[in-house]
Amino acid sequence: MVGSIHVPVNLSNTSSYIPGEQTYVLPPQGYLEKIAYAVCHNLPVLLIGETGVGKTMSVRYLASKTNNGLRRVNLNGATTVDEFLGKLLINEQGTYWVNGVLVDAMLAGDWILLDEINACLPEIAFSLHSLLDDDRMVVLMEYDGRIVRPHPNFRVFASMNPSEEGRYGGTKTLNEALLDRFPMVVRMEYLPVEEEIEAVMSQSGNIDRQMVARMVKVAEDVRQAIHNEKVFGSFSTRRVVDWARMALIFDVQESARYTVLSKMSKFDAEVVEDIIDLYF
Amino acid sequence: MISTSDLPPQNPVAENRRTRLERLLQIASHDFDLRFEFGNRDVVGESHIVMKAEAEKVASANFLALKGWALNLLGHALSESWPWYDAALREETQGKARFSALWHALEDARVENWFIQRWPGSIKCFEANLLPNLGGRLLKRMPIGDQIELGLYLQGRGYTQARYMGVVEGFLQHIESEIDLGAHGSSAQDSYTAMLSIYPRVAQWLRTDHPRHVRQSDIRDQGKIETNEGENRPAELMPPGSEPEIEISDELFSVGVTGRRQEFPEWYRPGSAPWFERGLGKKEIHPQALRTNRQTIIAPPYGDLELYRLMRAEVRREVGFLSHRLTNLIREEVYLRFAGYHRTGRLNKAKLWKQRIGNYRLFQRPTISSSHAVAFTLLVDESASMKGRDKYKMAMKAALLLGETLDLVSVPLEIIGYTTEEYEARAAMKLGLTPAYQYRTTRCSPLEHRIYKRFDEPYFSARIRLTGIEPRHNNWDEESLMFAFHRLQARAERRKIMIVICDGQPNGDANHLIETIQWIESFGCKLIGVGIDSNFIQEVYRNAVVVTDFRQMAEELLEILAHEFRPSSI
Repeated sequence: MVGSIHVPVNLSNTSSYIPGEQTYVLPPQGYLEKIAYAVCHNLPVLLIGETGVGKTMSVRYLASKTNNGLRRVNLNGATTVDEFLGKLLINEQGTYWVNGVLVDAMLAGDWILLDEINACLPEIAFSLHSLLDDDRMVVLMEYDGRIVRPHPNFRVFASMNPSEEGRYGGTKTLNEALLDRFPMVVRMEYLPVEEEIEAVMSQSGNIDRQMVARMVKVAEDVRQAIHNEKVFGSFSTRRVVDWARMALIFDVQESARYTVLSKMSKFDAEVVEDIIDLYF
Repeated sequence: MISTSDLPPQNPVAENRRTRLERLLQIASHDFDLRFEFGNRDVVGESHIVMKAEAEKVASANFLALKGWALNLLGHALSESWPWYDAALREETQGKARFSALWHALEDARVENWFIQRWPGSIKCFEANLLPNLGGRLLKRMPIGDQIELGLYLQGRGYTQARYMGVVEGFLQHIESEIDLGAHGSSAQDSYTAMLSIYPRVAQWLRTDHPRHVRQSDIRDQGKIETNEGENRPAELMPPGSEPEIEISDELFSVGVTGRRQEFPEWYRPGSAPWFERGLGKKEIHPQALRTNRQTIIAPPYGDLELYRLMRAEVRREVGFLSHRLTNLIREEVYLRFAGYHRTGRLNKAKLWKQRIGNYRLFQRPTISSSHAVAFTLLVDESASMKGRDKYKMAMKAALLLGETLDLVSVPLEIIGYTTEEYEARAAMKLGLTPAYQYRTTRCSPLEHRIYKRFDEPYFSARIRLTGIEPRHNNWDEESLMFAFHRLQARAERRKIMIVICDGQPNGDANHLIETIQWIESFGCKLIGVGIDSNFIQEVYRNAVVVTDFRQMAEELLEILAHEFRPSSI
């Protein structure tokens, strides 16, 4: 059960893509319940959120809990349709077809997570249209127009960083036609402070609650500043986890230098360092 | 309201520190409209804090101490201490000598304690403002009133090691619980109440003591608190008096970004040539004005969000039009193209028959889009002459337009503003080169380059900075072109394009500028001069356009970009 949704567990599944046990703090905003609802009703879900808010982790956690295989595809600008759908190869006997990751997952009944969908090539975006439509199929034009229909356990998830503000290089505004084909779009926010502290402690192994709480407060302050355009960049939960993990061995401020400040521009790093100095 | 306009112009380091402190205070207080300035006295108001400091001293001060002081002022602002300050002043006018100063010391301790409780790391900043060794033996020699005032603060903050006169030490021990109550209270009222109970016990020593503070309540704003603690500034605020090291040799000198020695045109050597006209003779660079490329880079101002929004609204139509045209032009390249004869990749079915003859190179691979093989540099003249007819605003809009458009099509762009540190004539006079007009071929002021947007920086994070483009001093185009060229040359892109927006009034000999442009173009870098109301650039740049208003400039820029992105020009 996830909230009020009962998600069936695929006990007989032996896929090698089933994720291991996940440490996950349930977001109180109820995102997981909505994703579970989409899984039960076989609805493709688009997850939108800043980097490190837990988009991938929520899907991975659900896949792990329901014993389903999860294949994750990073759709960077260089992922081609061949890699995605499949391609023809040739040997002495003639040509033969090799399935791409999407077709493979469709036939095997694994879940697929299309990461950074707004960075993909237009060809890939258009090839997804028929899969996300009600008829749920993919036509392999390269392979004599064969039709691939998905296994009943197959589910599609996509994730992206918000592209409206142009802060994530290489991303584009998502095509309206593609966006329209996702029946559910979840805009994920960062966890509230208490939950984020729990999440950071459990994922980093740093059990110094006071220290982690201060780190989370720094992140909160910086996010406020980012929201108000005083600092540019991001301060994700992932970054706080990295910081807390490194702080187990090194000094807090030294750890921040390697896990947080080095990822920012010089101007922003100075300000964030000042904020960190206030807390530690 | 205290005007800061009568203060001397702040130097770039001071401005950088002001911006940094302003952002820190904004983030700490979650009040993102808060303004922070350096002025001639401390003022705390609603969303406005002024710290008493001189620009020169700020530039060389211990930043931790500055931060501590700024946080102290913020603490007063957040605690809304000013009604109690007024009350303390009233007590003083009723005959309680130094009441407000003593209360202020206790209130400072309370504010800092509260701050430390919330932000434990701030203790370092506050400690940076403390007297070394808490005053040591010298503390005993201070007037008794000052000792009491300092004692209230130190004891309130929990420093008990300071060595006072015996009578003060005894007194402070006697009122320890009251100090503790006042210094750890939740509001200014607590410290005020504590001071009311402490004062009768201390009054006997204060009556004979001359009041140290002279309040200027008649010029104080309503709703503001002024503090005089600025007088106790730490010794760290003293300038170190050290000059940056510049390497000068008898032969060539290097101004390269990477510090490599390079062969420069003849005029670039010390003791060679310029001013606007042609054939003026040798250009000289005064040793005082010599800087390496790195040293000429000045942090650009943070910018003004409101002004940005205003400018953005004005160029919105042009941006939309330009990006639409450009996107159409390079649309083909958004899609991957496949080419070549490889053993892996996408099977080229049209060539399948070749398998019969044993040829397995039947696969094609994606080709790299050629529009990505171009990098732009936009050089903006920031000389004082750009002020006329708001030419600098036109340049600012052009920077916004180019920045936003090229960002949309993912083309790297760098935006640099160039000028000199000071007016040439003034710099010449300061160096004793009088009359200054006789030395107009000598560069006496160091160059300044403000990099508003770097190649690798997302436009989003730099856009507000562009509003900092403004007329400053003079300009030596040839040297700034070289500066920008060296940075552009380091890029991997095959095609390199520099667009120079100026009003055609550079210092120096025009021949040197022409020579430099030819020299840069000989390396395959394309230079385009955009002159605002100036035909002069048509004599200097091979590719030059003259514009009179922004609409015309937008059209010209579109032509330039369209030409560069057309497949035929690649």
